[in-house]
Amino acid sequence: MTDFLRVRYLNLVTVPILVLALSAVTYAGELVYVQSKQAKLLSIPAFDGALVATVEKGAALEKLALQGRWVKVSHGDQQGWVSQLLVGPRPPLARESVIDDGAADLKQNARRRASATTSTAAARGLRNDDRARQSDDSVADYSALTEMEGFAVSDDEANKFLEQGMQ
Amino acid sequence: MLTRISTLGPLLVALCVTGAVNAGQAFHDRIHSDALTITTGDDIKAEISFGQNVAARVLGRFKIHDDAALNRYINLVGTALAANSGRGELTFHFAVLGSDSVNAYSTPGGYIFITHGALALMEDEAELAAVLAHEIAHVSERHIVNALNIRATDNSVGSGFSRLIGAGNSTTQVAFTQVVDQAVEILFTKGYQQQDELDADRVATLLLSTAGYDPLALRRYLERAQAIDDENSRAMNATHPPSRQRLRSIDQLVKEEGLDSTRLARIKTRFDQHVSHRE
Repeated sequence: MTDFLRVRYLNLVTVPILVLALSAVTYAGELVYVQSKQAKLLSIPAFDGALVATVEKGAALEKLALQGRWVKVSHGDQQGWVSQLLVGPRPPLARESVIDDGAADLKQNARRRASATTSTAAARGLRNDDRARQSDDSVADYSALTEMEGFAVSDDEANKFLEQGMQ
Repeated sequence: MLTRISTLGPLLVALCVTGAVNAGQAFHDRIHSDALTITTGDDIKAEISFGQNVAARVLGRFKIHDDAALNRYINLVGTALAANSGRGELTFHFAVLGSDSVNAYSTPGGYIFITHGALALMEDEAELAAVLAHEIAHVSERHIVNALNIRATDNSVGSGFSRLIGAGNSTTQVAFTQVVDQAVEILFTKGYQQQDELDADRVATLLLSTAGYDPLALRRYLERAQAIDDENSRAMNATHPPSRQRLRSIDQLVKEEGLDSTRLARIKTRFDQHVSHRE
């Protein structure tokens, strides 16, 4: 084997090893967690890839590689690609709400721009109807905010509606 | 000489590969970049409370369009999209504003608004989903939070939101009001940073694909809006990057992800049934 061929052969071996080593060092043992209600693992890093598995919210997936906006993961004995949008580095947080749940300290801010007469109200916190009375109609409308919050639909209801549309 | 170049070859190739990956990851690195800064229930509640106050200001300027069925439709479409946004701890709320101007708004905590004028420009449900997804992306990527620097500065419990709201004294109230004012100014006057708008377009396009909608829907909508130059469309143009730039950015993503080959659902019939301007 000439020196030239030996060096070329060496390159063929070392380049992939270097690249693989970089990847392996970055992701060894790293976990990502499903943030959406479900996430599809696909056979290739593309939306038209074949479905490998569907994993539920909160599932811990071992990160194997990254390509663009796609993460290659393993889940049990299965491997697949999941959209970066659907996973995060920490387990998903529980659903939070401050709609009339008595979180008084946080609702004190509804007194903003109100006069000193609201300081007493601040001490007890404000519910939406209190906020409505104290709204400056030309600036803020808390009654409309309450109306808007009443439009909320459940995730299940929305997902069924989406599925119906896709049929 | 040949040997020396060849010896350096693998390193150079590896560095080039790494560099290309890094360049391709620039958008990836920005999205979800603040995922670690808001991690407690109190932080989330504080973000929602802040968002409520900004949302009330939006509703002080525009009335909710008086059509319960239409508002329910918007919430069904938007909630399904938001389920894939990575902000499962939030309940997203959507409302149609009774305004002929062409625009949409969002506040931290998940309050999303779309004007009736914007709806009138749309051809199908995928385009509606596209505009809602753009606004969801502003929330999921915490663009206002970043722009106003309302973030934790250390690893202690409680983000900037909690500290801003929690104390409850008059100084805190003034500071809180000022930050709400700044958020409102971003929505109505200053606009987001240009990069935030382009990222929101890209996240929206990915959200559409994830949900099963036509990923080119946002592009179609923006192209149509660009062609209209009247008083109603100027509201959007005043606070957003030039449409040509947004279209180029989306085109680049579509090419990178191969999305042009995955034309998915547009859902025109159901959209026409729900949006009254077509009756």
